[in-house]
Amino acid sequence: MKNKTDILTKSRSVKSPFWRNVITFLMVFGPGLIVMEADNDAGAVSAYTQAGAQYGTKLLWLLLILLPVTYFCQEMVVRLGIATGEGHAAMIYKRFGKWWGRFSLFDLQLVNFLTLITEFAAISLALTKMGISPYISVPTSAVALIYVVVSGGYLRWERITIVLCLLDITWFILAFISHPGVANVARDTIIPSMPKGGITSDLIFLIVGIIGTTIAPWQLFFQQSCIADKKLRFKDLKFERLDTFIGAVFTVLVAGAMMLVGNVMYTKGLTYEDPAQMATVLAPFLGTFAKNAVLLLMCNAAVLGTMAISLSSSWAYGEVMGWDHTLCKKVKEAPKFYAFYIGAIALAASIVLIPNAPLQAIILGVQVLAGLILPSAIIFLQLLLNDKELLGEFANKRWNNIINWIIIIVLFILSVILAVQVMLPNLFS
Amino acid sequence: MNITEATINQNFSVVHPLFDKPEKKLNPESVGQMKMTKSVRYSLMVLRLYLICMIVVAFYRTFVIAGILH
Repeated sequence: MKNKTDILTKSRSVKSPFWRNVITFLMVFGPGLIVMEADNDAGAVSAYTQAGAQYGTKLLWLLLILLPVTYFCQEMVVRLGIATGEGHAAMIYKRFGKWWGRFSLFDLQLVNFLTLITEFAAISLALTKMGISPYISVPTSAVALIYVVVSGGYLRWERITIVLCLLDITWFILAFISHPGVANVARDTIIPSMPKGGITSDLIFLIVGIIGTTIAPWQLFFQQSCIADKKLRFKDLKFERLDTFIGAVFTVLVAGAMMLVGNVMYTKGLTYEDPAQMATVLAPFLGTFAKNAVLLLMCNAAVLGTMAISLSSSWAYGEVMGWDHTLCKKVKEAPKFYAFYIGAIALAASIVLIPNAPLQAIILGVQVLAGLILPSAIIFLQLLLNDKELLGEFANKRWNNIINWIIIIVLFILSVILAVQVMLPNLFS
Repeated sequence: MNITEATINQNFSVVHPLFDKPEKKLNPESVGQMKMTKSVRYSLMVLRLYLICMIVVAFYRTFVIAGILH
């Protein structure tokens, strides 16, 4: 028997339970980190840097609250995925019927597609600041994204994506060189406070945007499908929980680092427009390295987001339509699954290249639609995880339900506030 | 061989999930659609109302922006 087979692919023998756990964890590691860090996409970069630029370090406490919220939501997805071996879309379809199944699929596809457009818009914006024409940057990134997914199988895709996630460590370097003041950061992280100017409609919009970007509906679908595709086992549950927790902590730390970079704008009294403009404006203060790093990290965020979001759509559609929908099969073996992925990316990239495309309206539309579907996605998740008839011991415990219903109520309240703000924009000004 | 020697010589096999034997999972098709208990029914009703209200708000705002409503 070969003991020296590729450590993290097929199998090996180890001498102790400790190393068995370590190697198993490393084999399982991936979906949790990817789903969390891919959530720090172009929209998140925009939201967090804007929060830092407009309110300094005053909203850092929000991230600390969002950490357990995002972990609890994704942990439920982990349990459901491992227990059933099915994706989220398939579960809604099978347990709630065709109408709710098609509704969930339709709004997921709509929000995901619009989000893809914003991701390519961000790539275009960032690389234009580096002197690269959108007619080169957008098609090149689209082709690269297609190649990574269609050419190598699940494991290769996962490893490449993990490397892209870990590139976001650069945000920590940028936050460090911005010298934010450790005392301020610590205080504003632990003690919730309102920024100067109190509660305004802009602040509420931004908070709702941050919450919407930290807990995105596609994440529920992505991680469950990814777990099903990776064929995680019942005994992998504790490792996947750890993977998800590590991903949540890493993502929140990166988000905090983004806020600290934006904070430089706040302390210097500079006006913020978008992350690409911020990178250019900060160059005299933080150096050319910081400018190029922010622009490239914007691209990295958009690439990660595009890949994860497109895959969540393809997996969901394949689950409901009954197609073969796995990265473990080649293009010839799962043609519709890959065709859907390629088609979504190609179409989104093409729209961005249309002159005078209404990108700002699309960005606003994404925010509104995400606010609409997030409560519904969470409610289905909660109902599925309380399905003792199916899940048995994997169903929610009482404390899970208490926390989850609090999250659902808060999300509903925030969505209603957003709606009121839309109807009566002068109410909070 | 005593117990200590047996423990020292014991090997633990670690198999990657993708290459392991398929597991029997919990099958949603075996239980059909979810039972419409009170909590499920009320949750779905609240969700329907919420979605209807939000869509009305979204259309209202769209019409205002388009100048159809003031």
